[in-house]
Amino acid sequence: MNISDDREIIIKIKKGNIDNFSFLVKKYTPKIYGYVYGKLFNKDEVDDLVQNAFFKFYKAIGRFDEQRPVLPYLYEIAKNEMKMYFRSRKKTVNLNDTISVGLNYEEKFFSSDINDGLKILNQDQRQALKLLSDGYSYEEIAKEINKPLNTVRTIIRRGRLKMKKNYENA
Amino acid sequence: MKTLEDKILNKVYKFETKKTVFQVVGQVGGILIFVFLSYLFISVFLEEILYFNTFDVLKNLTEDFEIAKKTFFDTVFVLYEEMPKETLLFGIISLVIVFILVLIFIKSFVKIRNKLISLLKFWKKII
Repeated sequence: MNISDDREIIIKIKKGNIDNFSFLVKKYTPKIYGYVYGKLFNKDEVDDLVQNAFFKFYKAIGRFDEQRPVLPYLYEIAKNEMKMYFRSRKKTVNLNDTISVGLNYEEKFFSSDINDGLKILNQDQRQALKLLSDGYSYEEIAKEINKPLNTVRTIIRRGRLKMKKNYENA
Repeated sequence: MKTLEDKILNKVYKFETKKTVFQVVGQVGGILIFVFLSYLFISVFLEEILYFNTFDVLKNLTEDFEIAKKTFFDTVFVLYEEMPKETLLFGIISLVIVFILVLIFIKSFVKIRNKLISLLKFWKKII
């Protein structure tokens, strides 16, 4: 089956012949399953996620442009499902509990104890990251250090990577 | 994989069954309700008109052409004044809604029929 077959199937589904949806399910379930399983590893969770992805695809099929290929759309839905899954599993803290704030590597880096670590960064990276930690936006930093926005992005990304590596090694 | 596919299809068909049943019941129910309302308003309207002999005013128009020409606007005005306007308005609105609902139903009829056939096939297979 190729894209034009998918197109015909989708047109048929849109006309109410919903039994054609089983062709899409049979064709794409292994691919979507493999994609999700590669990130989650838990069979039950993967089953649920794949089910939800196909279900959401079915619900959106009325709006789906049949000229577009189905698989990337399904991947996108599965990706969003995974995002939602990971978000829902984020640890939450009861409001009554005492919260001890852990610093992330960037915050730790700028804390007074390990401020020496800044030495591993070059001047641009140091300046850009300091400005960023002070709450400057990328555009403002670009103006401040007089460099194009994309360069600033690269500088910050490289600086962060360096910091992360250094923090992980420490 | 087969079980997962079955689960997916089961979920989709359950959802579609609910949706289609609601759609059919909603559309048919809506049409029936508004047909009944139209009937009610129009019958009340006709009853009132017949009771008060409102159409007697039109007799003026059937007489001599000259008199009919002179009294045409007065007759129309009197007719308008004597009519139960609210009932007529509600009747017309109900009829328009019936018309729209029937159009929607006709437009989606093939789709709904295909869906019902697919659903029936699926549930028959399961049962």
